[in-house]
Amino acid sequence: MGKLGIYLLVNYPSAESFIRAVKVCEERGVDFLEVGFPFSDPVADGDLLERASYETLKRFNFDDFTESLQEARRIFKGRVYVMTYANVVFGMGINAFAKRVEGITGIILADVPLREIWLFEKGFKKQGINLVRFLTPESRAQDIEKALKGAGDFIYFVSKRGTTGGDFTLDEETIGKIGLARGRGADVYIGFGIKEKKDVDLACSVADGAIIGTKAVEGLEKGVEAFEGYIKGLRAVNE
Amino acid sequence: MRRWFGQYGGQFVPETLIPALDELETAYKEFKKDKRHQKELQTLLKDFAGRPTPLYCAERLGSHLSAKIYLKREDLLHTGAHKINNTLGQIMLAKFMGKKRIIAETGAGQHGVATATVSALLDMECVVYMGKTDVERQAVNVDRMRLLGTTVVPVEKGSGTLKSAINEALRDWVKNVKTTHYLIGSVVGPYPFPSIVGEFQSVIGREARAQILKKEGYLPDQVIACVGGGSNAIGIFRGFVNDKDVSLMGIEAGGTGFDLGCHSATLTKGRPGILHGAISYLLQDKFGQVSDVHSVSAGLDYPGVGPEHSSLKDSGRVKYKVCFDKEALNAFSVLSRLEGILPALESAHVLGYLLEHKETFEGKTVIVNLSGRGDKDMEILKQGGIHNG
Repeated sequence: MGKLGIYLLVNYPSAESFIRAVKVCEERGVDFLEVGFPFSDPVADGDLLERASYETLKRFNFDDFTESLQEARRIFKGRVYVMTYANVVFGMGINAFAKRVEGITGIILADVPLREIWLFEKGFKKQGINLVRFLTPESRAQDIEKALKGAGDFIYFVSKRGTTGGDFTLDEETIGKIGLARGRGADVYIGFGIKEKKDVDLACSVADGAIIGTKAVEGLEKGVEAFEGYIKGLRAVNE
Repeated sequence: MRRWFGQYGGQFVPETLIPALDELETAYKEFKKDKRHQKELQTLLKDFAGRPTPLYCAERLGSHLSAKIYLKREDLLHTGAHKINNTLGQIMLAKFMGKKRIIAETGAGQHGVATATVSALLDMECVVYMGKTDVERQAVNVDRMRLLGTTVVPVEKGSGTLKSAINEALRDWVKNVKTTHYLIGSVVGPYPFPSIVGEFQSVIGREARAQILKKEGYLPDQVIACVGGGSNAIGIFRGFVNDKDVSLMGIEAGGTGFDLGCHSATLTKGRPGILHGAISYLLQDKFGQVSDVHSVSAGLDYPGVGPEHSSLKDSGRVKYKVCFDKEALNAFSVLSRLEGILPALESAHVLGYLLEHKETFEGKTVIVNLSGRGDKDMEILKQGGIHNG
């Protein structure tokens, strides 16, 4: 059975519904959470998460985000990761940021490729936080080697060339690359474009887990009940 | 080629783009060695773009300032700015790489027009992203691009200026990386862009150095250029950076004043950060969120700056100063009336600084990089009341 990870943008659509969504994830057996910290220039994100990021930044600041993150960690017993962009960490100071998110399992930086991980790794390691490695359909053999080195509990495989959201497909070549990394003992989770049960099924048939972002945030925009219904539907797949 | 300029530079982009950046680096090195392509590029720079550009002794401006002022006339190039030096180079490179499609961002529209022009010339599909605010304030350039067969995509999201246009171009590139070359218009972005753009623009400095030696028999005291992303400045500085007695100065946009959000003076008021692929000075808040910026000049309205400039600032080799909107607007009139040259508002920032700090330049020989012409700025100038004089 593959792992299911849900991405939620911190304090979106409101601080209260974010926390209630975290509770739903805990109660419905979601395996891990990715908490997005918004950035003013989210180049890896599609329209929906970009718009949500701007709205969140208008209403909250970093202190609010870390407060909600710690509340989420109290509620959610599984692994919690923070996903954001390089400058949210760098601009504040890597060590200072790492201290503020103490206790999370890992950090995912959308614009930090394998070759620039060196800049951030030390600061996070001191707090026991993994820096999650990415692979993509464009990755070459040497990239896969690089990702395996020092990888934490999973490698994040970006399913497609493009931003978050959109459609989910996996071509043969990509499936081959996922297989290569798994063959070397790494757990690989797939994200970007995963929406429905059938996508989760497909992802979990070739990898160790699936991450849903845009569609989960869109669900929560409709209300916590709609979100709960959506998560319930996904979980049924894995039971 | 330099991957890092001191502690600045790097490749802070989504992992998907890394193989494309490697491919670009390899292809560029081959392109540089390829004699046939280099010759073709030189021919196009000469016969199509109009190089070498004159180094013009602006006598009336000089006597107004009590200095010897030379203008490096990049404004006389085809399409009206230095941008075409880089677009000719990069589109030839993209063709060399077998790419079929060009995407670009533009602020003032000068890079967009240059890209659209060379795309037409070399038969490439071309899409230009432009912030909505800029589409409105640089409408003439939008029309020019469309006439040249380019698709202009107005970007409404975010600030609606150059920064948002780059975000959107990066998103396009991640999606279409196999077929598309992203033609970055300044010395910004992930390696190898700052190096490639810098090399394509360095022709400005090479020419200027040879020209001043021929005209005066000595090197200038001062070389000065405006800095948004910073490509025209790097282009001219590269010709003089090893001449220790030549003082180099970059002028940033002070906008309406030094409150955050009112200016684009990245090197003067920013601190190191990561935006659009590189570590460099950045205008940002204490939480690392990129600030809103302002300049009357769309080409300078950017919160970041090329990593090479950050390094030149830290080493002290280049001094970075500020010219405010109203000083630049005034300088536009002064140059128009004294010399019969309408400068781009970007370049007018340099002249504005000279006019405001006359005493610094008294008796000196100064080369100003006049990076573009001002025809594109008529709308802004009308709103600023300049046309009524």
